[in-house]
Amino acid sequence: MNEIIAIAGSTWKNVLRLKVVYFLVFCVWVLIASALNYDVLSLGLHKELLVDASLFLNTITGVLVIISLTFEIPKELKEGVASTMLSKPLGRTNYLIGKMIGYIVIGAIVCALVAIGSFLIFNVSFSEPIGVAMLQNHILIILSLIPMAAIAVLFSIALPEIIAPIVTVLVIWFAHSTSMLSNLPIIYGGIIPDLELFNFKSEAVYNNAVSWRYVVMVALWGICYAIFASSLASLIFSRKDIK
Amino acid sequence: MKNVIHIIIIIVSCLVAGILGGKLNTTQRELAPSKEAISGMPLGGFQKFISDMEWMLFVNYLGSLNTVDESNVDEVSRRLERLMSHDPNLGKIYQEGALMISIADPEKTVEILTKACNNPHLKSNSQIPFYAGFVMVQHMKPPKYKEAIPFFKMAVDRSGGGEGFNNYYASYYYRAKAKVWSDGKFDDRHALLHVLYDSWLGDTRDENYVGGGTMTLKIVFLTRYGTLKMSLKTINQLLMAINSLMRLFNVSSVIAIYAMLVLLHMAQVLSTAVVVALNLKFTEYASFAKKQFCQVLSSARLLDKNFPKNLKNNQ
Repeated sequence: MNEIIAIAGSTWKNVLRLKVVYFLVFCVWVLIASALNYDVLSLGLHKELLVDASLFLNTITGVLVIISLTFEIPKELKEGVASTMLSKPLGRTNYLIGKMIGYIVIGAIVCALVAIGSFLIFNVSFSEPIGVAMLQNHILIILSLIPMAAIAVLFSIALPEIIAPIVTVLVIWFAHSTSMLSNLPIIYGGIIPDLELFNFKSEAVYNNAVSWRYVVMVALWGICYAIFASSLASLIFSRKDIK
Repeated sequence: MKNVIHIIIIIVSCLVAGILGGKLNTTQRELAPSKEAISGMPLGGFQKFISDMEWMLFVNYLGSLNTVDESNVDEVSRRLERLMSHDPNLGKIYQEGALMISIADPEKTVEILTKACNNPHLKSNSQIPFYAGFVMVQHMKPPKYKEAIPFFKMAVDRSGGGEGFNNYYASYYYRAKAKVWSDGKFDDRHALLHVLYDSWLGDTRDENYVGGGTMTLKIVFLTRYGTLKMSLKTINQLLMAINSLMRLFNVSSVIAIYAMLVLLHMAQVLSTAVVVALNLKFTEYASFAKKQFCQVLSSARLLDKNFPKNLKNNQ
């Protein structure tokens, strides 16, 4: 467990100490605030647009953080950094889990910053309290990083360096449209991920909150799927030759 | 051994995730029923954001048009349908977008607005059913009064009769019912009186009845010599009888209204004031109906202005 925390800690510290991360978060805030300028063009829908833009940009932020994981692992394997670490009494599974948790934490912190900024912008602009639905959706976006990170780990291990990020992006993109396969028991949700389960953006815009029980349940699903994908990744990784 | 543990973990987690995923999918459909109506196009879960962008492009596109007519109505409809497929809950599509094609293509407008009326997310929106009925009676040729009645009724019901109550809804509702009832055989005001009277009575035989409880309405003439009470039922029956007689003698039904005005005029000669007194459980609808009735009476009295003179001349 200590090894996992050590790997995760070093991963998030390396990324979160970069000033460019906070500059990018600031840019996202500016983009969210720019939605206020669309009051005329949207015929008065700028409030809904601001909520939607904040959710959209937060999702993009989360996905970008996860995509960086697909660059990180192959890079460490290629440059021999991973083999140095793995030569120590550190299991391959622990290395993968540590990396995955590290990037989930990075994503959670960055997405939380984006969410807090959007709450402030909303509150200052409209003098209204933050809706529960909006809060829930930002939490759901953060929770969706768990299965996404596991998918990224799986593909970064199973696929070559150049293809892994592309396939990860495509899988994350299409994983929002898999609910049409919901009549395939176990395969749907068990093997084929459904990231649409985390998507209530439309409801958030109209301030329709979902039950907190659902949020907890979907988090559980995310964890179960992450265990599945990371175990599969670990199984593949254990059979892989490392330089 | 390690691999076996891995495989067991993979199988167990896959099973649990599969079962949970299936259940969550069902729960999500219950929590967000509109997801069923959203297009299956893979948009990475950004349907709402894309819909916002499409809405602004739609507004921009409309701004570039001088008018919506036969030359561009198909394009406007296509854009509207695309918007609906991304976010069927966006009320502006219907309230402002669909009405843009109401003159060029009223059938399509009603089709779009009917979909919106059936959308559970918009179930509290009273404007959409009103617009559907409005397009039916104002833009369709010939006007579809009968088909419009359920939409006006829906608008009245959804408005709840509170502060948001819009008199237009009830006005159109009663007038559409009057049109259906009269079927071109009676004067519009007479037909409206009949419909209002039926509503006040709480006629349960009328499936479109909007009043609540049993109501009796009486017009009380406060005269110098006492109180003359005349129930609306009596007035209406009298009106109907006169109208039938006039029709029997092949005379215009407008004359029936005039006949009733004679009665009212006679009462006014004696009265110092006319008060509409209600002995009843009033609903907001009935309250509105009362105003409507008073308006009908006022307009009838305007007609009546020269009536005694004409009567004398005729005599």
